Amino acid sequence: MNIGQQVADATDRLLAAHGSPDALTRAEEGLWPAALWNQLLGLGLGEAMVDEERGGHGFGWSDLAGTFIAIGRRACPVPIGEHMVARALVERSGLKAPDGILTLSTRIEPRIQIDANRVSGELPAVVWGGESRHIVFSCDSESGGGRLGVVELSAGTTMPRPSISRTPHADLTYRSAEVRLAPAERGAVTLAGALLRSLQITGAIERVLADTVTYANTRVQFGRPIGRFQAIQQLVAELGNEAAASTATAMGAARALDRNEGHLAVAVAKARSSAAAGRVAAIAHEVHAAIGVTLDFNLHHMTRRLWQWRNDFGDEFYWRAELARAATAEGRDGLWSLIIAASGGVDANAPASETT
Amino acid sequence: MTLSFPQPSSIPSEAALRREVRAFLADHAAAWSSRDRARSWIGFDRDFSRAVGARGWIGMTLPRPYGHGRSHVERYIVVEEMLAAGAPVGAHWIADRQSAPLIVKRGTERQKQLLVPGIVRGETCFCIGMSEPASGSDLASITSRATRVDGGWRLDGRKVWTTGAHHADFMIALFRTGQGGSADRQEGLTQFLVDMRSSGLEIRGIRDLTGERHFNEVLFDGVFVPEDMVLGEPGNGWTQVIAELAHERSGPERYMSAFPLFLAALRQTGETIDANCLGEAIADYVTLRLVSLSVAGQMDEGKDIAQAAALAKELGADLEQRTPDVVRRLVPDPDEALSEMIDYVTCVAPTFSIRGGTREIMRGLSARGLGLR
Ligand SMILES: Cc1cc2nc3c(=O)[nH]c(=O)nc-3n(C[C@H](O)[C@H](O)[C@H](O)COP(=O)(O)OP(=O)(O)OC[C@H]3O[C@@H](n4cnc5c(N)ncnc54)[C@H](O)[C@@H]3O)c2cc1C
Repeated sequence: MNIGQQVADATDRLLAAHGSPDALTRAEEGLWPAALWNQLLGLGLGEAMVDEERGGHGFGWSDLAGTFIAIGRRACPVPIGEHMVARALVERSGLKAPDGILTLSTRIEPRIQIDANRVSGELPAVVWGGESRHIVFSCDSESGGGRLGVVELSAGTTMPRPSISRTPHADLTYRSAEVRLAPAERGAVTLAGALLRSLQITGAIERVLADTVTYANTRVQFGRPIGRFQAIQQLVAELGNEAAASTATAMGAARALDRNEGHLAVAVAKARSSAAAGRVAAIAHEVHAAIGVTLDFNLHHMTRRLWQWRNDFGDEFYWRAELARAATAEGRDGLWSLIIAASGGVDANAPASETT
Repeated sequence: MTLSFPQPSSIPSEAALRREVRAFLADHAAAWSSRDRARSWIGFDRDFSRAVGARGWIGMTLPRPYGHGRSHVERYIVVEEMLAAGAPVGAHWIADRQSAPLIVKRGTERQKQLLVPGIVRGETCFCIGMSEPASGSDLASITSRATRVDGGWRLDGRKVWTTGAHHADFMIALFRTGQGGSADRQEGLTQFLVDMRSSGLEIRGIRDLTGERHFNEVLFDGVFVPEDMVLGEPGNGWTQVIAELAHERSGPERYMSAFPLFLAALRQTGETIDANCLGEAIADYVTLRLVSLSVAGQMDEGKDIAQAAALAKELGADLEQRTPDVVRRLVPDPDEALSEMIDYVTCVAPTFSIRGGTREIMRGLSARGLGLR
């Protein structure tokens, strides 16, 4: 078994032990599960994506895809994924990651201005605002290149913000607060965040699919399990299709981002998994009927997260527009090449050296 | 079914192979009308198939000496380039995709030597004799019967919807050799290699709603098939047919039938464009390519792909069937050539979720694979 799978399994076991519906509900009510957080860090997740020369484990997206999927599958009540991604981005930019929990704004374009090393404006919908110490965000430099910013939460004003997942979110407003900046790829936070959410969605869909199949095999009406009815079978098959689409595109994007060719593949993954999230939630509720919409039944923990995550770091509409822009940007004969590239293929006009 | 779709590692020669195929296609493409392109893998051109064979692009995955001993992923790249261009691959399509692999896997040495070289040269054309008037989705209910006679078998009955029977040299035909009845519904079936020029065999064309003759009815009235043209074991037909269907369902044509239309449409979009509609279609085409290529990779690893193929086919059929509407949305005022493509694809789109197994049957297979009892 490879090391990535071991990390994923360990994470999954830990989250399963801490992820009872009661525990999730307590976290949604604002109780910080400190023990879980510390144990996740104890697995080494905080440094997992940080490059080796900066003291990390140097894992890529493909190595950790199973871990992010587990985080989604178990509706993990702490922002470990955001923390992992943020630390890796900060260290890669050359800055030293500060102590404490790092988090991200889930909106695509923060409305902020940078003046020298001061930031003003709003970082909306920051995840777990209350427990985190620093926010990591992308912004443009004066020259039009990309930058990464790290700002302390306590340097801004925090406005709690309701969210459909009911996990803590806040809008942060800054007035000339001190920020650490370093050059980085443009939109790096959005790209990484989008892939993180695609993988989490994939995990949540996996879980919803398994639970839906189990329910359909056990719930009896008209003297037989409802899974015997063709109407239910068709719905479950459709759920399987959406699961396949989400998995295939998220894994494809993980590989692409590891090769630094991520933009198109991530656009596809987030567009497709966000669309899948909505359809899957609808089907799961249809199959579970009344019990599925009760607070006591676990399904809502999954479906509310699906509805949350499809919006974070660009929803399906945003990323589809990105794809359309790419397809119409340079001539209109390149669509086939774009599709090949976005799915990890090597197009005919790739440099000849690659053919040796 | 495991819902993972691992991607095969990319082959080092991918770009070069694409260049080769595109250069080859460019030499032929001038002769293709818009409608030819829209026809895609339904298009039939023996000369073209011979030229493809001469390049070593038919029977690619068959082991030497029968074929070219290359991987499913390499074949996938060649085939998807042909489909993207709307090349008329119909004359070799069925033989390359399913008949030849089946013969190489199950056939006798004599059958391989007799039939495979012609297929690989792009000269021998095959058709699929499964469906009957009363047996579509419920294939195991077929009633066409083979009875033992001196030196071989006598075939009586009727096949229908047989694509390309009027062009084909051979049919791989599924016949009942057992007693029938519920006990050997599946056990009593056998596949035969039927020479389409046999006496007692009559082919009647059926025109479809495009006005073209694409499929046929094939009548068997005492058709003699020699003993050495039984394919595989007598009574093992069902198992063989299931494996054959996995090949039939898993290829890139299961999502690319309408793809030349989509490519052509983008060239005609105006200044303003429904970006959501275009972006959604692109995301879906990329998704299908990932899923479908993964199935090709799994074939290289010798995995059982039946479930994954059913899922891929259903996901692909949905996209193909939506494509004419995507194009209507993106290009409100298409020119004549594009209109013709839209009309043609609109007419054949209903078949995408029928041929090779209907949507409902694919979904039923998926549901079982996903764990519904
Ligand atoms: C263009 C085209 C080319 C073809 N080429 C060939 C060929 O070359 N060789 C060949 O052998 N066949 C060929 N076929 C036939 C094809 O395989 C059959 O059409 C297909 O298997 C469905 O059978 P049917 O049309 O008799 O529909 P039926 O099986 O009668 O189905 C009618 C409807 O009932 C539904 N249905 C049936 N059973 C169930 C069930 N258990 N649960 C839920 N719904 C069900 C179906 O989904 C469908 O909606 C071709 C078909 C087409 C359209």
